[in-house]
Amino acid sequence: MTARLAAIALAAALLAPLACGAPTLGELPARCSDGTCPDGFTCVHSVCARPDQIVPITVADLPFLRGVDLRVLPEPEGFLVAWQTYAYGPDGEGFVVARLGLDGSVSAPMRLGTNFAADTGATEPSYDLVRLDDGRLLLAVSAAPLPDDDAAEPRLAAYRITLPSPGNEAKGAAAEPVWTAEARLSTAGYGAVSSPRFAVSKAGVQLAYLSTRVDETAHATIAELDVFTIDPAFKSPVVPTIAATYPARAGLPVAVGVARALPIVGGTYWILDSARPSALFVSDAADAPVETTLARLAIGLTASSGSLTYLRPSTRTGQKLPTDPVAGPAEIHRISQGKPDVVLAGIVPVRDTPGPTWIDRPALPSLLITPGGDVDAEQIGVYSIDSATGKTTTVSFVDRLSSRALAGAGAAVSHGKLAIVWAEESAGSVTVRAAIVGEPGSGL
Amino acid sequence: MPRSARLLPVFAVLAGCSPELGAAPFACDQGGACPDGYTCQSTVCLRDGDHQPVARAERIVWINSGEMYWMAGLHGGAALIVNDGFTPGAHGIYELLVTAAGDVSAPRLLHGYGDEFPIASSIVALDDGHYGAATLRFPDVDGDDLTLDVLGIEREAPAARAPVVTSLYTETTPYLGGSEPTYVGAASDGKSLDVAWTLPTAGGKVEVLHLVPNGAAWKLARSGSQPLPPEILPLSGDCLLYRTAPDRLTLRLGFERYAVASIDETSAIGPLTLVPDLPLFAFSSTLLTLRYGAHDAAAETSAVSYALTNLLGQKPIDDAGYTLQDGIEPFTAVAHDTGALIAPISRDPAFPRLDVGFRSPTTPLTTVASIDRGSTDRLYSARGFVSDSKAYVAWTSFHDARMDLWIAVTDPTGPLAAKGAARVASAQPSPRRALSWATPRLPSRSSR
Repeated sequence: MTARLAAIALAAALLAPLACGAPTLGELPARCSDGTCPDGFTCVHSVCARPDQIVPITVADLPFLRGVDLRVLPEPEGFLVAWQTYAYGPDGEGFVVARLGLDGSVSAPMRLGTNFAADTGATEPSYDLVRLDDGRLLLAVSAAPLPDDDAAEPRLAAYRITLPSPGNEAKGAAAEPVWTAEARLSTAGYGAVSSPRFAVSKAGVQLAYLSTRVDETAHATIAELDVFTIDPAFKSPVVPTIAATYPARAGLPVAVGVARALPIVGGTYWILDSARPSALFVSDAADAPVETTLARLAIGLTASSGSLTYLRPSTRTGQKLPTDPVAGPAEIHRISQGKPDVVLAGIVPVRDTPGPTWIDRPALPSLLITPGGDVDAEQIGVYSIDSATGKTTTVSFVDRLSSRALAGAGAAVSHGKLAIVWAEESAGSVTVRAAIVGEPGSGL
Repeated sequence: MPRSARLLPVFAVLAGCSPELGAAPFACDQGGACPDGYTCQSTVCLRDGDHQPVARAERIVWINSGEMYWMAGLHGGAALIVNDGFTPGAHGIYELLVTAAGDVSAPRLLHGYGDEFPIASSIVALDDGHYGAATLRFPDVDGDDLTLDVLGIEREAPAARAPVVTSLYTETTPYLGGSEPTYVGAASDGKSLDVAWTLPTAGGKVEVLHLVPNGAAWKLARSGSQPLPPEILPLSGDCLLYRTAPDRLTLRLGFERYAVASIDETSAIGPLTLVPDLPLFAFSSTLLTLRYGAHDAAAETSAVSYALTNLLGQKPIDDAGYTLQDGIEPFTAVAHDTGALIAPISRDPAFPRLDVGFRSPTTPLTTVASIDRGSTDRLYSARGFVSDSKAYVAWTSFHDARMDLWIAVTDPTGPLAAKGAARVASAQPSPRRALSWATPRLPSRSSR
């Protein structure tokens, strides 16, 4: 039952005593904007609930949101929830972050002040956002050329973001361009705009973009992974320079994006595309890169020296659209260099859209957070997975208290808490909600 | 029970207050119901006996500017074929029948397809009572190929059953990704079909296929191909075909940049020549191009001219003094007699009227049809057509977060009226909203 319906139910229940004595209240009887609730209930995130009930927190109400544009990052004392607003929408093109406290408090939204412009008629920009050890953020944005631009080459911009301290969000965030100008990347034509991805490791920060072009010598339409090296401590913007370029996507569609970066000691696995994915391992030692084709819709989970673990989601049915039903279990696979693809374990049904979140934890089992097989699942499952064997243990389920379709989801752990964030949509409306639970096995 | 009866309880209450609903049109309910004394015509309730001056056939998410096709109706009037590739749950190619009096049928689904990606389509009329529909589509998540599928679709099928759709010819090429398939071009003399499409692998090449009937299916009689010039990118190889002689075609190729090439009677493609402006039409020895001039950022308009050029796009003879709102895509002109119809044209940035221009190698640009839009909604695209002494005009415009498809019929004027076309008495220009889409976002292939 939604909170609104619950409020109606409570109103009816509060009137009922006038006629028939003490009412029986439901589990979530009403909103409590003034903080007061009937006996036995506590005001939790503005809803009267039983003291042990997890009540989802509303982070933002938006007119529209692409699921891939919802991001969750950990902070030392909480979380950051980020999303994109669009050039054609009422707020215009931009990027917004809100702080989500360990206690479930939600800060004022902070626009990142990048002034990145986008064509209202073109496909929405893609972005990536990472948090650095010093608390600042790096934002990368790619997009089609602007309408008055005669060039066809897509644009790539990067920014360093400084957030105000907690409690001072109203001051807004400061954005500094990393580069003196937007980078322009080669393209094979209309729609060939890659999503960018950062890889942050002890070796440094890299930003990758999959460019496309015609190789006149080879008479081929090709893709190349362009990697920029970024100094997060830069004093002033520098000219954008591609540090290295790697051939990629041989025999596969080329006009795709960088889906994920999995840095390890000695190199990075770049996961390219989400529909027909491949994993391109680029070694820090300048060895020849190695590309492996993954199963359709596979999702890179984690990597270690010499191996990549990925999830093969449940099979799409019907028209095989991202929103269509899925069937069957998901599988956890491992690819080790020089060895065939191995199925570690079959697990519960897992949709590819919204995709699951995988969280690696030192000395603790990894966590997989997913709504499972249903796009309108009313619960989000938390699973503990031994990444060596794929053995899966159900930890808990979080009630969404809604049956609206899920557009996107994410999760992060911080200071003994697990934040699960999702975007649920209906016609003309998207609500970003969150639940905060204890981090499984953390002992906090 | 008539559909309007469903509203009786509501209107019965109103009737107690003796409401005067007036002559001003108002929207029908979703089922097309109207109060007594009113009839739902093209999504609005009109007082019985009234004739709506403008017709909005329906509200939609998006119709690409290149995917509106007029042709003469089988039984008089005209047919408009549109491809809605963006409305959730309603992706498909639709037929709207328009009478000479301006009555517009409800959109009829000719060919539905899945929701993930739009398909590109080009529609022509065949002599056998079918539309020839050249389509290009991306694969589903399990597939690997871009598929060119030429369909035969029954025209104006009886209302009691769905139109018969048959696959006439299919080719595939490896899928390379992207947002939408490139536009596919088609032309027909009624008996055969020429199709132009771009294959993006190996640096990209454009192919022209000449298809002829061969029993139930059609066969490839001959073909030609050319590698793309470096300026035309493999995923930007939009194709459009113009017939310049009974056995000659001209190919327009490109999206950000444009090239043209002649195609001879053997389907051989001549040299691809880059042209500096947007070619809107090809005559046998000249091009009609759209040339952009100064941009007014405050008014969000550009000065434009329409030029007759040589086949290199050079030596323009300008019809100047026109304007286009930002975002308007005329996309192409439509053949008529010895010339071509261009829509929309205007010298007023507000486009209070939807004017159709006529240009031939010998006739300067002249307005031949003019519709009072009754709206200042910003325009996206338009297409004009003249048949049996009537001018048919379709256009798309934005209203809030929606796109509307409007249709109007009027008497042609100027050089087309002077050619002896019999004027139909009394007809006021009669635009109707034909389609209207709710849209949280507006995708497009805008190049400007």
